[in-house]
Amino acid sequence: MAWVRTNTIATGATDTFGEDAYYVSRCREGDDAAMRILIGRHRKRLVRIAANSLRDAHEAEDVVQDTFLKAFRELPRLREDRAFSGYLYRICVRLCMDRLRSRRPEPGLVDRAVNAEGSSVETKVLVSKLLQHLTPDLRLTLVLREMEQLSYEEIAETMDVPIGTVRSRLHAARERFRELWSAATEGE
Amino acid sequence: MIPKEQAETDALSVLRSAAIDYEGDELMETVTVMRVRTWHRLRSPKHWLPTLAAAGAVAALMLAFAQTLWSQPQVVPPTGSAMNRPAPAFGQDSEPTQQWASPRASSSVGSSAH
Repeated sequence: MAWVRTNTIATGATDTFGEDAYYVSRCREGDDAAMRILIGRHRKRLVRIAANSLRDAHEAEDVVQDTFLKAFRELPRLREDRAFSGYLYRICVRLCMDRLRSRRPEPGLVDRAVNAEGSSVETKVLVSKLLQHLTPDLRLTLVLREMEQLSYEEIAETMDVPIGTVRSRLHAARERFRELWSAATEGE
Repeated sequence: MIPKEQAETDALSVLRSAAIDYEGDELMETVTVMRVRTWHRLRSPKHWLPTLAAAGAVAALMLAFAQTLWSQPQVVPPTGSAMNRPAPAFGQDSEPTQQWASPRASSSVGSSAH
């Protein structure tokens, strides 16, 4: 892989998007090493996003595999090589959205007897249960903003919606989450 | 226990703290690379064309060999062999069936019965 890095420097592609663009162009020519590098560069972040969106590590792994397969299969459709990361995250979020939509919502409200100041595991379980009560759109917006700390612009690009929609969804998601949190912890 | 007012204000900070730090399994990364690479190789002809050409050549060779075997001329026995020898004349051989078929033998059997 040393030759790939040397060539990257030689072409002056030192920024992240530039490097992505370089590897994507190599990938288009059928370079396996470049493909492996692209997977290595983006996989961890994608797994984190998917795991937080779906609240399931194994499902997140599946989604990320599907994301890469879809991304490389549809690579000829990508117009600009520099936009690869956005394109990748968009696919991942769409696949997460599909999975969330196909899930059957659990009936009833969450358990109230949760000690949120106890173990972090309990808190995580409670948060996972609360997130199930949000619609996929609201849930993903909230996760991308609060957990992944993406900017509004990044969320808009990733979810393929206008920035105003991101703002309104985020407002609604925060309100809903606060309500659920209060309902789950009140009376303790 | 969390007081209500604190729950109201801290909901988002709890949400942030409940983020899953899972960044994937190394083994799963390898599996991902292998799956993508397999698909990639299947897609690009430069990877499977030589294999296909080699398989085609082997198949053609086998077909030619089978055809050669099939079109071999049938084995004709040599002229001096027993198959080409003319049948012996009646009475020259000593086969028992021909003896039983003789009229003299059948008449003697009939006379003894009477």
